[in-house]
Amino acid sequence: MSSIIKVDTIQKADGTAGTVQDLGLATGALSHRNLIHNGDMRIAQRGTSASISSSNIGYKSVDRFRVNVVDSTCVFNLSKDTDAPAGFSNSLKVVPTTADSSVGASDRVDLQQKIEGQNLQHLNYGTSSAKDLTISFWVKSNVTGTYGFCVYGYDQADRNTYSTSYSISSSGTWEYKTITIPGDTNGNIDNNTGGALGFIWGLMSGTNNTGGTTDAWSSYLDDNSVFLAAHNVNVMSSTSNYWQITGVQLEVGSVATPFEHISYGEELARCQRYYWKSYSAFSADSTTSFLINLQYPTTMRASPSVSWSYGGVADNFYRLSDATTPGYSSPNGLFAGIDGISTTYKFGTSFTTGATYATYWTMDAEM
Amino acid sequence: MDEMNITSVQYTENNLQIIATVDGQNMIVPTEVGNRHYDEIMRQVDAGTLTIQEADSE
Repeated sequence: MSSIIKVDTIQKADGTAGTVQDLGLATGALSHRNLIHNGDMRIAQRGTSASISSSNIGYKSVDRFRVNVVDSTCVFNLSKDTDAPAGFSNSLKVVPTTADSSVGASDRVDLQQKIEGQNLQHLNYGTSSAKDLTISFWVKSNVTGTYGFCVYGYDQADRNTYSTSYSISSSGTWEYKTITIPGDTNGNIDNNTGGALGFIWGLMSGTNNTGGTTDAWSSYLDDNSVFLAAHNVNVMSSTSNYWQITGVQLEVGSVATPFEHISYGEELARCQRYYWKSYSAFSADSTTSFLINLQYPTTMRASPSVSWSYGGVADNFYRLSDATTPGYSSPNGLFAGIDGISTTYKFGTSFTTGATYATYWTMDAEM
Repeated sequence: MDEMNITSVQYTENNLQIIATVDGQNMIVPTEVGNRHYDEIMRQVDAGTLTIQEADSE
């Protein structure tokens, strides 16, 4: 018995007409093909907004996306926004609150997501059969021009970098972009839990990181100017500026397929491998210690760094018996593994033996 | 490439963890390779730009 599938039209992810080649089924997986986590910017465990400056960088709002700032002047708001193209509910938005229109040679602002090496072994990097990758995303800004984008290899001695660019041609309009990255036949990817490849969007870049080779794998350590080589705009130049991104998808092959929407719960679980927080209560078993048994919802990438706060105040606990919020001093031991915490926490501060305390714990195993 | 602001770095008892302020946030960092905060602390220590204080005596 034979089967026939008749297709009248094929529509690409941006809504334009496509061909059968655009289906990309020959190389990409049929599900879970997006190697990027939280590409639709729905998950924001740390909070939906943060003020970013050179003294407050890293993972601050939307999960899995990190901001780097090498600029002592600019300050910007990083947020999960509800403005998004059709089919999406959220975007990540950057809005300068203190502008810097004078870009120094070493100045740089970028957004990045890293991917674990063990999740990229099927790319066959470092071999003659290294596979192409295609990244697609929606972007919107009032700053038109050429934006630098690169893939940065953390596992190679030379930090192999593939630098390329995309253009925003129309102010204030969601535009769909696709970039194909040829496989790196020279760059290895270690099979471990470390960050192997970083996918980086430039927002500001001085001459130290521009002007180098584009559209080819080359050594960042030999020439820093390859990093955001073609970048020639500055989102930080005015507090009237903004830049937004969503629908980020990275997949094997040379074709961008429509964004793969997955459930909120599945996406949250993916993000919790790298960061999660919990409101937990516990009892002090002495004046200097308490027992806690806190199991994570999923195995974390690495033993996490731990912090806590109550009422928005770092290091505070909440004592339920009298509604006070004692702080702490000199913690001597917290043993957080990749699956949970189950130990005695020793503090220099006096607890009330038998009293119940609570706080918001955060576990950070990002890359 | 990935900048990180690290201050107030001190070992806990028996050097089992490090108490650090990273990007303005106090945290306890496991002394374990692969934790990005620990890796960066040790990178800065090796570079001579950061010193880890000894643990407080009991």
